[in-house]
Amino acid sequence: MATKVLLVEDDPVLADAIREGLSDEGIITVGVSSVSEALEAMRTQRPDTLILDLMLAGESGLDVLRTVRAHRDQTPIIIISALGTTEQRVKGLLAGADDYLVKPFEIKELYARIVALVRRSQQQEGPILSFGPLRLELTTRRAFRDGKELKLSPTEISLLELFIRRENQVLSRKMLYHQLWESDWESETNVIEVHINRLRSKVDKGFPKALIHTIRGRGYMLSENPASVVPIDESESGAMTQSAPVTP
Amino acid sequence: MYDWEFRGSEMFQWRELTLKTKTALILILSTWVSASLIGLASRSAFEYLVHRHIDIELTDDAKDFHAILDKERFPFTDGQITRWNRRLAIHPTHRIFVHVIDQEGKALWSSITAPPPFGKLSIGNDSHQTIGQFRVVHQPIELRLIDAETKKEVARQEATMQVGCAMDLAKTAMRELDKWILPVVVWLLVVVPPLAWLIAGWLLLPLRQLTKETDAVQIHEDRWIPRSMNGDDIDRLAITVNGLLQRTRESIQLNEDWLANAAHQLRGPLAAIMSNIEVCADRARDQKTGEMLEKVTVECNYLKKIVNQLLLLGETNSDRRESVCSQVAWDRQVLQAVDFFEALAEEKGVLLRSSQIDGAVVLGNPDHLRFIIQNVLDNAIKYTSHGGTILVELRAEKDSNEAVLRVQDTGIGISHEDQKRIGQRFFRSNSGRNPAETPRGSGLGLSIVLNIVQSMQGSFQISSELGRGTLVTVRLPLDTSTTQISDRHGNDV
Repeated sequence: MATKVLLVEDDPVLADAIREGLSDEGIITVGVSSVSEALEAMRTQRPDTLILDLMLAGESGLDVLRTVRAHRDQTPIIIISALGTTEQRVKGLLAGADDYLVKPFEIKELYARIVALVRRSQQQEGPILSFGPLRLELTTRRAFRDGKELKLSPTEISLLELFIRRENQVLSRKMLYHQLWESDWESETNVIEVHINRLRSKVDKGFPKALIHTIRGRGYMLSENPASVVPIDESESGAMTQSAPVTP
Repeated sequence: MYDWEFRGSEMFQWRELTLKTKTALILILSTWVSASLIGLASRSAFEYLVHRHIDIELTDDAKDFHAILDKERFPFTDGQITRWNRRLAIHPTHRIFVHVIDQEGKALWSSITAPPPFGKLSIGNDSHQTIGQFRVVHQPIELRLIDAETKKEVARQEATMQVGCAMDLAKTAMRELDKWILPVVVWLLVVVPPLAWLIAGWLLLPLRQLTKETDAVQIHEDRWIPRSMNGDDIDRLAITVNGLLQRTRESIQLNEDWLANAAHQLRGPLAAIMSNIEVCADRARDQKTGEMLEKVTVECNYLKKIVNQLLLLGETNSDRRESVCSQVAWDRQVLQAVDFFEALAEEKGVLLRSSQIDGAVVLGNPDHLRFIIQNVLDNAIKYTSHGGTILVELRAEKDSNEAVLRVQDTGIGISHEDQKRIGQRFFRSNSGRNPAETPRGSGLGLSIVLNIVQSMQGSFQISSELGRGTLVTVRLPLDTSTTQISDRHGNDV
C-alpha cells in the first residue's frame, strides 16, 4: 500500500513541487493550506505522516500539532519551517513533532525522513543494524562484514549507520553532510566523496560484491542489487557531474 | 559625585569606597565636627559671660571705692583702714582687693586682701586688664596730703586706684565645665561610628534591594521591578529601570519579529524555487537541461548559504541574550570536526591533526559552538595550500578558568592591514591569494563567530604573518558546574 502524507503548506508553489517530487517516489500527497482544513483532513484522510508548515497565513501550524497530540494521535509529524534557530526547533520538537526541517530543503531528504519515520512507527529497532553481509553494533560502534571487523573511523561509522537505516534509498550529498556535520555549513568541495571513497575502500575492497553505489546525478545508495531498485536510464541523468566515478 | 583623592596615600582612595562607607564616613565626620564646634563655642560663650560678669562687678566696686577714696586725706588713719578692709572682706562674691598707686607705680596703700603690688604698671587707661592671676580695673583719684603735725592739707596728689579680684574661681568653674564636656566628646567618638554605619545601611537598604531585584530580572520573562510607590528617589529609579527594561524587551521583540519575518520572507521563496528545480532536474530528459539546472542549483545553494548566515548573524547579535544555553562538551565537538574535516584537508594535500584535546565543558548554544569550529577549520583548510599543516589544540586552563582553542596553520596568512578589517561584514581578505581560485564565501562567517564569542563572554584572537601562516585563538569560559552534559553528537564520536 502506498504511503500517504498530509501536507499543510500555504505556499502553493512549494506545495506543488513537494507533491510532484514525492509522487515521483511513489508517495501520495494530500495538500491543505489552513489549520481547520488540516484538522479536518487528519480525521477524514488518516495519513501515514503529517508534514506541517509553521507559518501559515495568519495562523500557526503549532495549533495543528498541539490539537493532534491532544487527541492522542501518534501520527509521525515533520515540521517544515523557515524558522531555523535552535529555540524554534526545540519548541517544535517539544510540542510533539518527530522531525524538523528548515526551508529550503531537498525533497529527497524529506522523502527519506518520511520513510524513516513511517518505518520507525511500525517497528522497533534493536541495538544491532544489519544489511546483507553487513552488521553494525550501535552500542560499541563497531562494524562487521561477513563476521570480519571493519576498521572504520567515527565519521565512517556514522555514514554507514545512515546507509543501513536507509537501505536501498538514494542519499544525496546534502543528506550525508547533515548526517556527518549537522549544520548549515555547505561547501562546494567534495569532502563527502572523500569520506565515501574511504568507506567504500574499507567496506567493499577485497569483497566480491560491491554494496555502496554511486547513482549518477542523484547521490549514493547501499544496495545488493542497485539496478533492480532504482532503474536509472544513464542517458537521462546529466546533473551532478562532479560526482566520483563508479568503480565497483 | 565627589571626586576627591587623598594624594600621598595609596591605601585610601575615596572613589573606590562603597556608597555605604562614604555615607557613614560623612555622617561620622560631620557629627564630630559639629559636636566639637558646638562644644568649643559654648565653652567660649560661658567663659565670656563669666568674665563679663566679673568685669561689671569690678566696675561697680570701683565706683563705690572711688566715691569713698576720692578727696580723702592721706596718710589714712587706722580707723579708716580698718573700716575699708572690713568692707572689702565682707564682699559677697569676689575677694576684692584695692591698691592705691602713685604716678611712679609705687603702692601708697594696699588693702589687707591685696596681693603684693605688681610693680611697674601701664595704667594709661581705665579699662579692665588681666594681670597674672588677677583681673583689675584702674580709676584715677585725687589724694589730699595732710601734714602729720599740723593736720593741715599741704598738697594734692594725682593717684590711681586699682580694684581687682583673683580669677581662680572662674578658672575652677571652667575646669568643672571641661570635666563634663570631655566624656561627652569621648562618648561621641565611640558611639557615632557604629551608629553612622547602621544609619548608612538603613538609608541605602532600598537601593540594595533594588539592585538585587534588578539582578534577578530576566530579559526574557515578564517580570518587573516592584515599586515602593512613595515617590522617593528609589521609587523614581525603579521607574527608570522598568522603563529601560521595557525598551530593551521591545527592541528584542522587534528584533526577533524582524528575524522571523526575514527568515519567512527569504527562505519561503527560496524553498519554492529550489524544490521546483529539484523536481525538474530529476525529470530532465536531455543532458544540457540537466547541466543548466545543476548550475541553478549551485547558485541557489550559494544564495541559501548567504541567507542562512545573514539570519545567523542577526540571531547572534551581541545585544540579544542567549536563551538556548546548555552544557556542551566542546572537546567532543572539536574531535568530531577534526575527524570530519580531515578528509577535506587530505583531499587538498594538507595535514590536519589534533595535538592535545583536553576535556572542556562550556555553556552555550551547541549549534553556535559548532559554527565556530567549523568556520575556523574551513578557513584554515581554504587558505592553506598543498603540503601545509594545520594543528588543532584545545586546552582547559584551570587558572583562568578558560577553554582555549588554538588552530595554527601554515597557510598564506593575512596582511596587517587586513587583520584590522577582519570581522567586518562581507569583508574578504585578498592578500596573498587569487580570489578567482578560492571558493566563494559569504564574508559573514567571522562576524558571526565574533558575535557568538562575544555573547559567551569569550575572546577571539588572530595573529598572522603573510606567507607564514595564521594562529587563531578562541577563549571561552569553562563551565564548572557538574550537571548532565548534553551534546547531540556525542554518540557519534
